[in-house]
Amino acid sequence: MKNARHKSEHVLQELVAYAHRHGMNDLNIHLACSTQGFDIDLEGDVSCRPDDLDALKQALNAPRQLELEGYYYELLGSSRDGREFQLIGAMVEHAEVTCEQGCLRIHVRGR
Amino acid sequence: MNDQPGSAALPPAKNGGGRERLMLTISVILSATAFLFDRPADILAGLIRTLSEPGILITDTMAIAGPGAAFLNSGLLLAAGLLIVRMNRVTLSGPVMAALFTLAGFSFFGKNLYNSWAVPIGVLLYAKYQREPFARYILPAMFGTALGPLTSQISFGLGLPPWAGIPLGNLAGVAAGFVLPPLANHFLRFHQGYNLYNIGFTCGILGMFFMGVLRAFGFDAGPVLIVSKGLNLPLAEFLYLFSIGLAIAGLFFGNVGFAQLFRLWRRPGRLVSDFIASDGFGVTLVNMGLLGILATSYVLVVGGELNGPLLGGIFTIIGFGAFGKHPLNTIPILAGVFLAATLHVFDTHSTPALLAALFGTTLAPLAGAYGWPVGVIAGFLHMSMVMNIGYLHGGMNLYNNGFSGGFIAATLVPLLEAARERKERDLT
Repeated sequence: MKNARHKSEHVLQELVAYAHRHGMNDLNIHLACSTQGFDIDLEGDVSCRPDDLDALKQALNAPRQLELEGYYYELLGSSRDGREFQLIGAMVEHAEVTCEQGCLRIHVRGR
Repeated sequence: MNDQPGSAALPPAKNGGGRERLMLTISVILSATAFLFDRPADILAGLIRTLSEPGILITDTMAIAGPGAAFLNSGLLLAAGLLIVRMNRVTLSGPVMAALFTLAGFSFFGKNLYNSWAVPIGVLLYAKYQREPFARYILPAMFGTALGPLTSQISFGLGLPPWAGIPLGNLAGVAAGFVLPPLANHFLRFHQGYNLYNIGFTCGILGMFFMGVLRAFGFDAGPVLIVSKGLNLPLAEFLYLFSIGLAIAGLFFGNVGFAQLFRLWRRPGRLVSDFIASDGFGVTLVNMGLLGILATSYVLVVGGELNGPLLGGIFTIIGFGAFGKHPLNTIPILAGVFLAATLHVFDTHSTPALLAALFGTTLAPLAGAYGWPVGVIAGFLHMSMVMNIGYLHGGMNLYNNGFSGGFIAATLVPLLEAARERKERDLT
């Protein structure tokens, strides 16, 4: 539980940095942690489709990589760029990213 | 999608077969090259000699055991690393490739079949202690072999009898390995991922503690510089053929063109930049091959003489061609180190100065993220720093440049970020 909480804080920090970089200043965030892991839902309005959305989708849906998760997860949220897609992808089990009618929604599930 | 449990059974590794075969081929090439240099009996004798060498910085395995033994040592350690990766079902991703090339490279100066086990065993014990799979900590375990000389130095370099030195040396290595993963994780934030050799920084801190304790008990080691001579031509031939071979192999893996290559070269390279995941294996291999040609040419153009440590440096650059380095973020660092060496008291073509240049590329992400002038400044500062810092760990941390790079990045990044924030405020 403690581990999931700690990881979720890092992942959330990185996702918020990504949202801010794309001008999303009004965000709805839902975070749920349990012994099974964590779920994060983040949504907000964007003026246009982010140019790196496909890269984000691809990276978040990459296979989980224990070796990256175990060593590098402290880097998540360490810069204000919000570009550590690969690292989030290596840490989460499931991700959905949609951008419809000016609303960007990101859902990730990890453990 | 992802289906990997946190600590239960691991899924099969997704190495596509090709990556694993390629790394196995490289291991065979390194081992076979040994027999082009020396006779089998000499190679065996040399290999046995390496086992009892302290191996602290800078000890060229080619000088103490012969080039044949050095190549076989490298091939065997690479094969061992590959076996550990396979046994733990870890994907051969960019960072794992970098770790394997670093292992092979440092087998030419400092790592050997004796001193490369204690630290990984310590990491394994830490994984058991945390009730996590070893796969989670495989990168600190492999990179952590940088502290191999800690084991060797205590075992054979302090004048202790073998019955005391060998257990004590291995105990120190295991202890260092046990504390390495949490420390390595923690220190990432110190330089914010702009120092690619993060374990080098961590091992520098650990080595500093161990050396402090040893010095307090009256044990010390003076500076060491043992390098081979007269191998420029065969080593240059090997490195060029090897690098060109990698680039050609990349073409066979497909999806390689100038557009893909330039896309990769536009990436800053900050940790975590797995080029295999972001750009594909083919173009990554081409990048690795080009970096090998670039690094070898740098050494030769400034009048350096190729030897074991420089071969190790070039192998490490090639490996990190899958994990953060490319010519555009590497050249500014080389230029900065060259400039510093020209103005300083150091010879640009001496082995320590060339090692500073090659391993100074640990700071390549600074050039990639903030531009080439910052890269030149980082290279310049690195050259000054790295020549002063080795005393702290007494040469027991083989990644001395990673130690120095951590301080440079941690100092420059906050200043650069402050300048960037101010610039952004002015624009809005």
